[in-house]
Amino acid sequence: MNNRNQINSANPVQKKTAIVVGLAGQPNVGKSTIFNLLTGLNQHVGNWPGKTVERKEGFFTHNDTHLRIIDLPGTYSLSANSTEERITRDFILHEQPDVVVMVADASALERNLYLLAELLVLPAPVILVLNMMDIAESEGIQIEPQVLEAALGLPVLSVVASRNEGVSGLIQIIEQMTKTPQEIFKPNRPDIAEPHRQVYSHVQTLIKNHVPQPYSEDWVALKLLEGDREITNKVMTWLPEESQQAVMAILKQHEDAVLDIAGGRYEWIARMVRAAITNPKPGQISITDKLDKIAVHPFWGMLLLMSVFALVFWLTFTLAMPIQNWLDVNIVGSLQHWFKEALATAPNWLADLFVHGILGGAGIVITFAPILIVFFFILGLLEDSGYLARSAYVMDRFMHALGLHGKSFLPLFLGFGCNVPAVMGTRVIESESGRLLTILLAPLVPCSARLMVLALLAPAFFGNQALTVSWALITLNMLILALLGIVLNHTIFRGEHTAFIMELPLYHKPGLRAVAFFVWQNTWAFLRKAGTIILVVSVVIWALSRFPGPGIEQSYLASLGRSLAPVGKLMGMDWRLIVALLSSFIAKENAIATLAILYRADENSSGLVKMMVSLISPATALSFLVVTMLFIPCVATVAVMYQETRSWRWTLFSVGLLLGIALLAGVIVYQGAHWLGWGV
Amino acid sequence: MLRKILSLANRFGTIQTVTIARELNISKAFACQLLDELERLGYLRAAPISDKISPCLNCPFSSNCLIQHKPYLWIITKRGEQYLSNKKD
Repeated sequence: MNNRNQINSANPVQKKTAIVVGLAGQPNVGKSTIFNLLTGLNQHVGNWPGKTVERKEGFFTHNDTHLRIIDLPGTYSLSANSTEERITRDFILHEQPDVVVMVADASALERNLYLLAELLVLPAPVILVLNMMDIAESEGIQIEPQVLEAALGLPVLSVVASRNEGVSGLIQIIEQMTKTPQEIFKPNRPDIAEPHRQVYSHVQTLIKNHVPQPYSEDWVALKLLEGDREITNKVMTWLPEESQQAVMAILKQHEDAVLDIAGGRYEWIARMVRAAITNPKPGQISITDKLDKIAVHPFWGMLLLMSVFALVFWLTFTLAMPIQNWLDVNIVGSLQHWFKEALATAPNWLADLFVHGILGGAGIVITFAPILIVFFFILGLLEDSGYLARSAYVMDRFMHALGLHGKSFLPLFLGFGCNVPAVMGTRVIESESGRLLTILLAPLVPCSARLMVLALLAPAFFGNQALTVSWALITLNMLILALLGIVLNHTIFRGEHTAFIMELPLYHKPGLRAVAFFVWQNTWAFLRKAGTIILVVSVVIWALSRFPGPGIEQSYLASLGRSLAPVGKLMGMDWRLIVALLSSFIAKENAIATLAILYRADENSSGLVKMMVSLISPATALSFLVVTMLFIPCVATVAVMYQETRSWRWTLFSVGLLLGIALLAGVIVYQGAHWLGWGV
Repeated sequence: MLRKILSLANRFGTIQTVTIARELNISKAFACQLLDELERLGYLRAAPISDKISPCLNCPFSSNCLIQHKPYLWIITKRGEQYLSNKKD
């Protein structure tokens, strides 16, 4: 309204002489602002009959035109799911206003047009008011109202209600609409999508001549197929029994018809938007999408991911390994030497406990802190940038190419940190068998503890080839995960659908503070573990390896390890390596502590790495690493597996399955190397 | 359009909203609106992963979880799975 004084806010006029206008729209689109601009002080506020929802009615006179305007409750649709929706649609159906003015937020037109699609099938002509045009323009959204008007077949008016711009034009359109509606209201209504058009016609035929006023047969048939309970109950009282049964049979058979009705509306919206909206402004999302063109591309994304993995390991090997070696030889070695001298007069077992049990086991593990710091720093950078979520997506796409649809995403996404959240994450899956399948696959994702063991042992055993070996071992895990998934999917969990739709986080510039905090949290958690679980296991391993003696080969642990010798022999492993694997069940890092205790028990300190390389052949080392990467998960993961499945049968099946896979892979790798004459 | 989203999700296993938008030639905001509709109709369920709600609630490792920036997920419900199975048959 250009001049508020032009509008004569007259006294309330008689209902029968006034044009009845229903003001509809979604919440927060400026409907009340327009209502207030039109009616000024001539408002009456009460409640809708029998409801606690506020009813606002106002009057307005312009020249000889008298309007009675009803501000309908804000609704997103007319599905009768809420009181507001029911009030709006009942008002239009029963009171049949002369005009419905639908106010839409121009900056979110797609979201607003759904209500218009539903209004157009009700018995009242509609005018579309595009409010907040200024906001739409500031966001780079350009709407062509004339084009939209032609596409919709109804009057469209652009306004900025907050600045009282363009509202006066609404009065003329309302007048015109009531005088010659056929000239300006030729709505282009949404169609039902193809699969259910004939069903719709069939329902229309069945209810023909049974639908009372003010309902229309078309609208009632539509609501029946949409599954509208209120209308369905009403229709059952209108129809003879024979038709009732026929209609119910159709509705039962076509429960998914709602997809085609709502889908038809959305296709109609998409057509309107394509016709009338241009130039969405590029923003932060577009930058993310641009980066994602490479980061989640099936080929380039995979290549990038492999490069990132290689970089993580290369930096870890290059920066952290020399520090770890230095700490091992100079700090742990010196401390061992010092303890040996300090405890020279103490009982032999006590000195041995400190030197080989505590320092040789848990102490060695603590020297890995630099590896962890570098490792988590790089992962922190990747995570804080938003890339890590994409890495799981890219790998899942790869799994999809192998035939594993969607089932690997959750384990891949959460499992790289730790298998425990990966198992817990399956809670989001509704289907029981889908959850079980995902739980079975989760432990095959190498967690950070396994990766840390790999980061330490791969360069120790394979020197310059460590990068290639690490890469190959992670790829092997992924391939076995995919193969197992495919096998289970075609056998035990046949026909199981799992699908995720996701909105990936936006890319961020990584914050050093956040990354530092992330590194600190993870390193501290590791140090706590070293000081508790790993320390206890180290002492137990030391005790079992020392007693009853006299040497380690006569220990309880040697007896236990030797009882598993036949299996170990097939994989080229002696009893020490077997025991190291078993100890990793408590926590993966224990494998290193155990190796340190068992291989250095009778030796002088010269660094764990050098010691192991001299005693373990490359073929055995490769077999050991393969088994470690595929071995049963740690006890915490197994406990969570039971907690989530509530079944010992499935938990033990999972453990047995992983054990079988790990041992079989170890045998194949070792025997293969043996057969090829490599590194034996 | 709604059917196509379910079919795309089923075909890809995991799919991003941006891919849906591209496949349907619509904006990402509109794609999200369609997902909301599928959720309202009971074919999808929003399953955000966060520390405040399931599945990360009570996770003993949530404080030092490797993944801090989690995606927003929708998963196909039993109704959606049933629809896809019927379609396949």
